Amino acid sequence: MTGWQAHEFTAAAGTRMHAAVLGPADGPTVVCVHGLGCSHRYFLPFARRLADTARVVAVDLPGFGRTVGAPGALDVRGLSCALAEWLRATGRGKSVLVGNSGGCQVVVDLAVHAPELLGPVVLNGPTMDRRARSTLSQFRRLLFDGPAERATLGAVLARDYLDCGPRRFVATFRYLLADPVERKLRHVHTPAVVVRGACDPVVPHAWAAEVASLLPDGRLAEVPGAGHTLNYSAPAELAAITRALLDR
Amino acid sequence: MRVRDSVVVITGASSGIGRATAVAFARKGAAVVLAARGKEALEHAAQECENLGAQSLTVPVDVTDAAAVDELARQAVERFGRIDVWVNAAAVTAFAPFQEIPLPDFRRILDVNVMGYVHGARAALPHLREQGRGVLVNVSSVVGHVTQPYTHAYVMSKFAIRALSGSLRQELRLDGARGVDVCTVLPATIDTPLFQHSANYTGRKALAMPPVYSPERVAKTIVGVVRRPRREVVAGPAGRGMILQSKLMPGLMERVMARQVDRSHLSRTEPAPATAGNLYAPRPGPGSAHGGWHGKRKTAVRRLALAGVAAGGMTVLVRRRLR
Repeated sequence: MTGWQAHEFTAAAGTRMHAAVLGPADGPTVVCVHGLGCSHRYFLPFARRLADTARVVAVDLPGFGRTVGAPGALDVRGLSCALAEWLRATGRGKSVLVGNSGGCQVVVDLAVHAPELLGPVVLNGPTMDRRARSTLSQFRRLLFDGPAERATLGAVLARDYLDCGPRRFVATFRYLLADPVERKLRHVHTPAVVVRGACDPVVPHAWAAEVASLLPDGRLAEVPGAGHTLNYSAPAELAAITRALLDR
Repeated sequence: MRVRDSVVVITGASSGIGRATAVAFARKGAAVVLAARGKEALEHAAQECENLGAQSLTVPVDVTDAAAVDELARQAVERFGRIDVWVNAAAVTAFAPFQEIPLPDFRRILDVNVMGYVHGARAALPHLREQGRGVLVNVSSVVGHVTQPYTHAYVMSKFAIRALSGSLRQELRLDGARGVDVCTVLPATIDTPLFQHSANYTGRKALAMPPVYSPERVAKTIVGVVRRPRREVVAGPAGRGMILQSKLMPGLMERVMARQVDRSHLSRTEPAPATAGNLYAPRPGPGSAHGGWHGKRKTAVRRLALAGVAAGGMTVLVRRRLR
């Protein structure tokens, strides 16, 4: 029992891409895109909160979670191309995209080369703050995020990190770090919400506000008392904000 | 409930008790959503909260518009993800002999003070219940227990608010929504601009009837009931005495209150022109929590006097014993 309703595998991006599904088939689709080293697993609490109205689909990008990847790590464009292929293959283009952390960079990159697939966007804790684009500061910030998260997140992430492996983790991190996300934000022409936990050290208020202002149709939401991984530690709040976007 | 990092929506946040409450919650580290009609005053109140390091959102809204109040709740959730506390504090009043107050004014007061709270509760409770926890605070008044002459609509509305809170508590209990609390706060006379903003057809200037307490004191009480929810809490000890008296000797209290209002609520020397006050349009300007009735100073003076009397009494007692 994983708590998900179904697991589907789709031939896309040269592999079998895995996605976990929860929610009614006739509801609006919400596609979740995980962050660095993570997978569909840490979207489960969020999916549970949203499953009464929407069909939540959490996809594993190649090399993460249950999707086997090629030996080498993919860069941001590689990941977003894989996401685009999967969206086309499953006919899920234009559905709401919820990204967490590094997943936001993948979603934003998707807007650059496949705008026709882009639906309304929820950017939850978008990385990388351009004022702290170094390995050391990012890891220090991630370390300080620990107390703001639910304790069991560690166990979930440990399994995901094992799935992805240290080499892919480090290589993907380098690609994410080098990604000039702030220059691509203007391509996101769909309604977008930047959601940040008010206690998130990885994404400070100033950076989140900057991201929101660079989006053509963006606004900022901040959840008091929450950290970086809202989909796991403050799922009800993220679900409420996503629902507001769905109703719009 | 923990106040730090909670999301608090306050109606009537541009002035008086609502504004002081917003500032008090901001000081405790809550995110505040300020709602009122007056845009400029709201912005100033929000600035005050942000200077204390709090996150804030302002939503200009007339609480008599149910759709607008629903929209207020929606915007709060859109911005902060949830609503933990909803404070209904928007109120207006009029001073007038019963036959002389224009009926539309009478209706308007009931509309704002009663239906405004109903709209607030209807917008807030679905969110609180879905989350399984939260507090709805309805600001009534000591005159929700004790009647007053010349302010019929206001007194009626404050009685009605207590009734609304009670009925809601009962319904929530029957529905098994244990984490959701409804609390009524009953302030005594508070140093707010209410008296300057009120409609007045008496020909006499409306004054704050002593003893006057500061709006910060009510704000503290409201933060207190959110921390530890209770059914009804009085803010201002004189109010507690008045409520007790009205329960023990209702006839006497009615007569005393009538005389008291005639003597000290309406000025016997200063005249005032007939006005609809802020019933139909908010007062322009930055607004304020205080009304210039010196609530803080007067409380301090009262305390000093009480301490003096107590000290005097003790001295007499001690001397007698030593004799």
